[in-house]
Amino acid sequence: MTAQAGLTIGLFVIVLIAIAYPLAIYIARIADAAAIRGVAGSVERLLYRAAGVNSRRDMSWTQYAIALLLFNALGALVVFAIQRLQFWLPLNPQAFVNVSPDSSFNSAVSFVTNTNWQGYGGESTMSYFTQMVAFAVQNFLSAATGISVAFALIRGFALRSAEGIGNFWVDMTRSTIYILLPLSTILAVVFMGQGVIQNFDAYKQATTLESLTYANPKLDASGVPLKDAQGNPVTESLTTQTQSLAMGPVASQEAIKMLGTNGGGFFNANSSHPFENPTPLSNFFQMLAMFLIPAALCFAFGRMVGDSRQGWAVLGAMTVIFLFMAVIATWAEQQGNPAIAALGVDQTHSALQAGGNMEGKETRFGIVASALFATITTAASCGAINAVHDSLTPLGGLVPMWLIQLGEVVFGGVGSGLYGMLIFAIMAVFIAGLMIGRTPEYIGKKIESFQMKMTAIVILVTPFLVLVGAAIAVMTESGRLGIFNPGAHGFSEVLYALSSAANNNGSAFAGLSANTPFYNSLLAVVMWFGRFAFIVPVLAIAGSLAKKKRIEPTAGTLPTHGPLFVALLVGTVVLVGALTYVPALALGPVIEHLQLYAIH
Amino acid sequence: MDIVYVLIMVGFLLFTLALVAGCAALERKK
Repeated sequence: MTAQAGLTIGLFVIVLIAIAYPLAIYIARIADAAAIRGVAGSVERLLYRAAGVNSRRDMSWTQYAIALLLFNALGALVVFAIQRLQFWLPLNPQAFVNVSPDSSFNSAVSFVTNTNWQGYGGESTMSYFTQMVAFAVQNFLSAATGISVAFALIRGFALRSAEGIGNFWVDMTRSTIYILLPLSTILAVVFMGQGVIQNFDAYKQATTLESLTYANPKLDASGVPLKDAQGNPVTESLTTQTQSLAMGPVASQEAIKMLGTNGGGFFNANSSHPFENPTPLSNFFQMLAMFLIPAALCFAFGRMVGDSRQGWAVLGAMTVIFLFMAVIATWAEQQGNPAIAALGVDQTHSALQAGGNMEGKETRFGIVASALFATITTAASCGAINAVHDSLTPLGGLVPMWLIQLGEVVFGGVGSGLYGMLIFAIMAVFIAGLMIGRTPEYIGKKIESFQMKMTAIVILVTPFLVLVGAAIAVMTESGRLGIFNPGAHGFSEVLYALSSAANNNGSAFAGLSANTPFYNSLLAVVMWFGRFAFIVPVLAIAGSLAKKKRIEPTAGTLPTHGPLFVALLVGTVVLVGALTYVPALALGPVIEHLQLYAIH
Repeated sequence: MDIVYVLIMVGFLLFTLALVAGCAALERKK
């Protein structure tokens, strides 16, 4: 690994912590039940009056869960309806037709669940109205949902003998108007300063200097690529000398896309598009934005439970895993591709070239910023991309896939990363309790049978969805039809898609033709239950913990703020991830890596 | 076709609400 790689990763972590710490102090105040004064507080109270919400009502976990589910289901229906009606709605200068029912269904579930898996190309399918009113709104609301659940779980630890875990409507409103909106506004202006576009113009037609002839894949009536008898894609030769430059309100959507760990690009090329992520500096801000709130929530957790060291311990475990994976991904990409090296191509890093495996990467970012972005976006449950993950080396591609499969707890999604990691912390103290024969405790709360049953559901639900979903995809004709690449790489594409959907990441290996009724429906099922069948038991744990008394630590209590616990937590996360997915990974990226080096 | 997908989304909601009920029942039973 080069010195530049080490410096970039080191600088990233230092700047992240420097910004996240003060933000955490602010977030902890927002999570407090005390009324907020001033103009902002007046706006908040006006919203409650308009919606008929009693903001002082404390909700039990079941009331909290029901409100959350109804709100998100309604959101899915609204997003579905807007896509199905977009041709007749305003802000559609390209006169895009209504989106197909199956794609609308998939995208509705995708954006509500904070996944932002995109089977469509944004600039060729969605009107500005759909992008803004359907998708950008859900970018805020799905992120606020995650923060709300994290607040509820933290209260479960912080409260003593309480019946409620807070008020869902208050948590949603405060997360949106005090945390997400101000941060997004600042970041959108920063992005515009870097050259990210923000307009409502019709697309511009540019004449290119040279004509371009390209092979365009032919599709059948249902959008599935046609293949010949040998299984190769059927293409037609097309020539053009004009280029359509897509426009739109990109900066405003880009800010919340990164801050909310949503990841759904305005353009199909996502953050590799020069209008969406123009400079190395905008790229650095995008990476920071993905980790900012998840890191700040760790510190906020420590403050809210009255022991800052607990927040540092959780953040420490996340950082250890992240740094390890970032180094592997960067190293693997800097090694280059042995198949290309065998042709005599120079892939070494020098002042004149980035070196390594540059396939699918932007030259303005190079290897390090692309590998680091891929690690961050999959650690953070964001799913934005600035390089094609399908073109990563087998080991470089294994890193993002495995980070997703760990359950998106390495910083993770906004809110979801913290509550996912706290579930692993409960698992870790349970394992430690078994070793020494004591009832496990975490943050002064005894962990008993009900909490462990709920933890088991949380830990098992996503692997079940990923592995059963991938098995269905490769066992059915409809599933296999979408696979472009034969062999191990094709399996990796399917496994990545299901892992991404179930863990609400949203990035894709690409190469998989997923905008078909089969994949749109399968992935929607997986996204919904990957999100909400996870949240429900987490809220149940929060409710049951809030009812407990808080016990003082004794000499026999396992300290959960030191290096020993950080190591135990890292071990639990890694072992659960490894044991669950290694057999499947062996059939995909591992065998592909061995084949690549065996041949070359 | 639209109504099919709307019904599926309503079905998602009902399944997840059933999970809430199941977890709540488990909590009472402990």
